[in-house]
Amino acid sequence: MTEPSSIRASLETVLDPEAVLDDPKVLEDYAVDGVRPRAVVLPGNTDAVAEVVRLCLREKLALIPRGSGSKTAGGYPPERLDLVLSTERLHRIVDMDTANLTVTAEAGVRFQTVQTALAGEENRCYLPLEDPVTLAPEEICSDRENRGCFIPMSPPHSRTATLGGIVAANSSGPTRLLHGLPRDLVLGVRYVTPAGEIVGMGGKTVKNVSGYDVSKLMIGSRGSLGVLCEMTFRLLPLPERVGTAVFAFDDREDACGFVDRVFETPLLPAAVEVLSPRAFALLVPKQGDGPVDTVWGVALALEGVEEAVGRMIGVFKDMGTEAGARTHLHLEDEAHARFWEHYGHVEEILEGRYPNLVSVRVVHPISGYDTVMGRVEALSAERSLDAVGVFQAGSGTARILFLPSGGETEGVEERVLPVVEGLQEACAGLGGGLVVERAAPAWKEALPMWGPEPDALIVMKRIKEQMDPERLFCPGRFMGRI
Amino acid sequence: MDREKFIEQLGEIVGPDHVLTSDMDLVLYGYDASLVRGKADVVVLPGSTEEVSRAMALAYEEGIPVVARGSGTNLSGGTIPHQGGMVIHLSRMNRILEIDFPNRTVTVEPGVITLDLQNRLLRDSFIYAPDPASQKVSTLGGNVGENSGGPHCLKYGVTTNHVLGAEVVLSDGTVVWTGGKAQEPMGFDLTGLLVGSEGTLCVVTRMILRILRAPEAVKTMLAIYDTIEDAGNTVSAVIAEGIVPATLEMMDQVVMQAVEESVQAGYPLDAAAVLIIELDGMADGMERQAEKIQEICQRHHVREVRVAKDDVERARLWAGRKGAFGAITRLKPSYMVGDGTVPRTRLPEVLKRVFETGEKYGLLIGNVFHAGDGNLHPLILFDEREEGELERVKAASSEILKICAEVGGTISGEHGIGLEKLHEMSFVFSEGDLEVMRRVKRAFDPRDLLNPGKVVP
Repeated sequence: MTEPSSIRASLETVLDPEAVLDDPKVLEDYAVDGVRPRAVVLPGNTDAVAEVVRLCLREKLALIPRGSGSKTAGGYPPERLDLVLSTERLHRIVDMDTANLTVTAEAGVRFQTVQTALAGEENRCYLPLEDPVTLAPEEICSDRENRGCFIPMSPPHSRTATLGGIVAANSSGPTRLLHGLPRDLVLGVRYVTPAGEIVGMGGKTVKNVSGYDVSKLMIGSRGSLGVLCEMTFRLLPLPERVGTAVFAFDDREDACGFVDRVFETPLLPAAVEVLSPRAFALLVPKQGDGPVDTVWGVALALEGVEEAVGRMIGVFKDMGTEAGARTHLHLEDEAHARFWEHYGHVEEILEGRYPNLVSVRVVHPISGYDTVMGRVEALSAERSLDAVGVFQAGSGTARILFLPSGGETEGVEERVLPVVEGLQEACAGLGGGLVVERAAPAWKEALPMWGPEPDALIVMKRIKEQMDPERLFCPGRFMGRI
Repeated sequence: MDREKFIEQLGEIVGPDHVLTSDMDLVLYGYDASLVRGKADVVVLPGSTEEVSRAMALAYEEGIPVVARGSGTNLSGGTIPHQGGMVIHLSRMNRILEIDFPNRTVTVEPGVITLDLQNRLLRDSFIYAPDPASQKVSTLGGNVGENSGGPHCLKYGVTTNHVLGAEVVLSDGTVVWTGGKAQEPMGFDLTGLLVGSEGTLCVVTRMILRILRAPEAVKTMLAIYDTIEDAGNTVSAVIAEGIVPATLEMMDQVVMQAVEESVQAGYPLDAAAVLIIELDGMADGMERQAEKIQEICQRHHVREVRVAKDDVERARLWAGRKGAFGAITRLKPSYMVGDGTVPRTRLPEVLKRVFETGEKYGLLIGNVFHAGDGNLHPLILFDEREEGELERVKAASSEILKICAEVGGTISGEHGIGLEKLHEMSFVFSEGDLEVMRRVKRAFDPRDLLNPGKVVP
């Protein structure tokens, strides 16, 4: 038996022994960009998180909060790392208030878990005020057939991603077009500050201007300002009908022409996605014998009341045909859900074959999507680097996976770097930027991990100094190596 | 530096005509729509970002407090220069700089009147969604400062959900951009942080706002009730049913009677409460949803549901709602308006307690509010000339906020904290929470010169 590590001894002053992991093999699994932590902690509630953070403050230990690990590959390698704080045991759904259309859950709850629970939640009852006419204060319940709700988000990695991770990364998916980003859907957060205090901001109301909107600061801060422990989201009732329409076009121009026409209508699709040929081949079930390697796809997600979805299916189908769509695929219910789930796991589908894949998310003004697609195509052709791109046409963002083939190591960096840099320049030129969400640690020093540095970085640095003066939270990982 | 010299230097920056120093001017700039009063030392009306920057750099060097403001429709004392100093009135910076339909954005200066932008966009069938009742006079800069709401925020979200970026002047005069036309923040969401910061973090000189295509169809209904409980229960029932209308507004008898005297919106004077329910979006299925809502109204003993037949009728229904705060002074010379917000399911209970509070203090309370998102606006009516009345009003107002906090709500949904609700911040925030906000303030404004003494106690 080996001596318990000194860090374990410290941690056991605030946690149960089983909430501290320090087996070298486990530590390897929790390594961040190849940097192994000295221990992994699994606090079981917010108070325990605060205890751990206060210990870190006393002993100057650097820590990185972590959910399921689906986004740990982003950011610069940590300058130093002592603890990984896993939210795995913060797994309670605290309050499903579907009559108020809110849900409160702990950070470690998996997105799919809460969605499943909400979909089956039938308690849409509330106690009305005593009624002078009937004088019978009985609960009133909705008689809607489908009573379930959902958090109107469609983040990538949805099978594993935790609520804390999604919010910490302001991570969004195709339906942000209709429903917005986590920053629009999170009503309140409870978190532990780098000073070890438990603070609560926002709450269960959809409007709230009491004090500064500190929740916004936490959303998207990637664990660099504290540990998110609990969040309240806005809900929507499950739509009456959902559907997906997928179109195949012979070239990019036709696909874009179709998309532009979609946005000229008063119709409200939930998502409008353009798929590069490789993405199309990967994500769309094969139809007939036509060639697939040059086909550009457009996938529309539709949701809403019966009549509206019905109309959109009809209108878009005709519009697609007029725009030159080669094939048209229509999916409903289960097939619809499977398609979009698959869609959000494109990285997982490819990572086995392409362990060195580089995942990039670009952000730009809406109309720039065409330019961005063109640049991705040209840059990857120039350097013969395969690329899979899914472009969220109406939302000004896209996810592009560059795929150096499996065994390739020689000269890869020389090919990947100029492509990412070229893309970053293109986005910056449009008034946007780019975030590298995954790359081999060795390449990160040379990659523009957070895109162009905005002049407001001076303010971000001051916020970091105020909130985390000891730089214990994810040191060096965020924009500007904050 | 003495006052004369400071004023002279400001004159060099913005032109002497744009520096106001007369006693009359300074008193006028000491008001907003709240009950608080103050007096500035000097008022400056800059015409450009550069002028704002230079004026602020000067104030920074001299350690002079700065209060930026628009039209002064603020309802919480946020624009009152209660510590004196320099008021920056941004009314001259009132240009719509760009309307970019392909990117669905507009770039505006802070002094643009909210409704002016909205009317301009409507000509091309686009909307800027946030619609505070004061939109005829309020400025977009003020809306951003306060994170303003409005009836349509139930469906579309508040101001912060529609601001993509801003050019801001920091306390020392440095100009930086946060965000831009891109659809999400890069790095920390500074834009999200400064929206609603009530001018305490920086001064916004340009804003990039999100615009939307105008909805294809709109349906507006007026539901009339004999008891306020039935109206409140209907609100909970509609939300629980899973219908999220564009608006779900409520008005009680006190307010309706005042409104009818002033704008003749056609509200029934003998009813206890009305709801204004509006659906918008695609036309398909709207009729069926409207029927469902009417069915819910029936279930809760509605007296009558009127559906607006055309835009004229719709405008008339809304004119009453939007003019409500103004009309209320027909009943009493002064009012204090609350802004507490509660989870929607707690609304009926909270309403009842609001009435009880009014009775307890012997005060008349009218209610006109955003029922769909649980945002109350109890209007406590009074006469400042009556001795001791103001104290009772303040006590009742604070008690109502306490009730809101107790049921899991908050003390302000859209009007802000300003000076009036500083004391009540402790109802919803711990000392630790407030300390985090103070750190935010220090990061932006280390010398505490921007709208000092507001928002965070």
